Amino acid sequence: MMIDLTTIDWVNVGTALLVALVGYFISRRISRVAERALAKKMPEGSAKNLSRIIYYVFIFVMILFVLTLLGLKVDSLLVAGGVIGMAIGFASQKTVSNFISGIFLYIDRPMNIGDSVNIGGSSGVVLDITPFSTRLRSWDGPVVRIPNSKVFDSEITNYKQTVARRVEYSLRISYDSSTDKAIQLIKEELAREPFVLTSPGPDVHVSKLGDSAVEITVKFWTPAPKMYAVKTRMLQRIYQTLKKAGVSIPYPRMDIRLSNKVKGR
Amino acid sequence: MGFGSWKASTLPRKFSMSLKSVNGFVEYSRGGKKVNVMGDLKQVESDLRILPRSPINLPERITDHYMINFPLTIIPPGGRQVIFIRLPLEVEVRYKGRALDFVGFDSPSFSLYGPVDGGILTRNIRGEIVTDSSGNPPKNMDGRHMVMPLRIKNYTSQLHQINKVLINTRYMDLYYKGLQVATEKIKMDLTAKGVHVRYLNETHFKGLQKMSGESQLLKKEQKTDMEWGL
Repeated sequence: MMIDLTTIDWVNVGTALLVALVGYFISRRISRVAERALAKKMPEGSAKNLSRIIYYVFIFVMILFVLTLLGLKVDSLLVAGGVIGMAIGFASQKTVSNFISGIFLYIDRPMNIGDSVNIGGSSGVVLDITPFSTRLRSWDGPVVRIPNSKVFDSEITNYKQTVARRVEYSLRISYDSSTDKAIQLIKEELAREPFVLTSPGPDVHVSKLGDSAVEITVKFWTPAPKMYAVKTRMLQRIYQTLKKAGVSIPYPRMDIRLSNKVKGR
Repeated sequence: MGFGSWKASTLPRKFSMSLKSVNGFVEYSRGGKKVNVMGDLKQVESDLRILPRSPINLPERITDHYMINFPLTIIPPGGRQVIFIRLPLEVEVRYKGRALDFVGFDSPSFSLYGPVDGGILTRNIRGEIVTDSSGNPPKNMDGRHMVMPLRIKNYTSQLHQINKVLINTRYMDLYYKGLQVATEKIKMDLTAKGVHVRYLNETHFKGLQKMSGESQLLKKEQKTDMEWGL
């Protein structure tokens, strides 16, 4: 197909280009201003997502305006666009699904940037939530990108939304040791740690009479940001306290008795 | 302050600390704690400040709130009462606005006020009512405690028993002179809609100076609600 350059209205083309350029910068500017304003009223991640949606809406309106300037009929384009959109939609169902899930995640707000989460088995800190995917920095370093449709369908555990977490140990002591003494020692050790919350208070009790040991369950609450440090520290301290007090901690043991009447070949 | 190690006697409770030059840094140390500070020793010495402060930072700051527990006080319907509560104090060692160390006179413990999701972590403080028989505050303190004037007003038609108050330290100021350290006046309003704790920007004690160097203070909202009861 040949295009007759003399029939093109270059003034309109120039105006359209100018409108496109100005429209692009205005869209970016409005999106940034909106993000800053929204960030004061909602979490950072939600503000970012909403400002992105505002940006795409402005870009879409700008494109329609530019096409009108170029003399194209927008209504027929929209119909054609609808058909094309359907075709693209069928071809890119997953992408659309991710985008829609991204919007649902924005409405549901199960997490924000900076939260410590577990999404369907992937644990880490949320780095970014875009309309299509969520990025996590896992505890051992790598960044994991999870499509939003998968995020939306997965079980999400958000550790940031709780201010305190419960720690639980199961300790086994020998039947020869005093359970009262062991429980008392554990309670005293817990009371010495400032980050073991006094309310809700700790709970230490005999939970099972096992084959070779008495099981003692220790439960206590600790501030969520301190959970890992307190959990590891207290287990070590309880072990040392029990050991020092002579409370015996048994390990699985099997007695094998050989018969005296072993016959040789 | 002299060069090297000395006794800090700003408050009657004495603790020793030292400053020494290590590889171009100045090392502040007290007990097992060591902090390196950039700068020459003379400059650090002149900028080092030892301040009394509210009991929140030990063993480290994980909350801005503390829950003061005090002996049960009964407020009749429509009644009002001012009580003075004695609280343990902490001492902050500060260099150019940066906290290097905290020294406490109380063994800290924490608790959760409200539910696990949305509740508030609080530092537990054992308070003691020190109002004298005529309802006046104590004249002198021992330098290890501060006094908090608490004005309780019962706007409801029911009798209330109170033995704790939730405080947000970010809305508070300390006042200090000699041995006397006091917080600003705090109002506790018992209303039909809930319990509101308000922070008034004034002291109940004459002649006290507002402490400087409390850069973390926000004096805007000045209100805490005790959503989960007394």
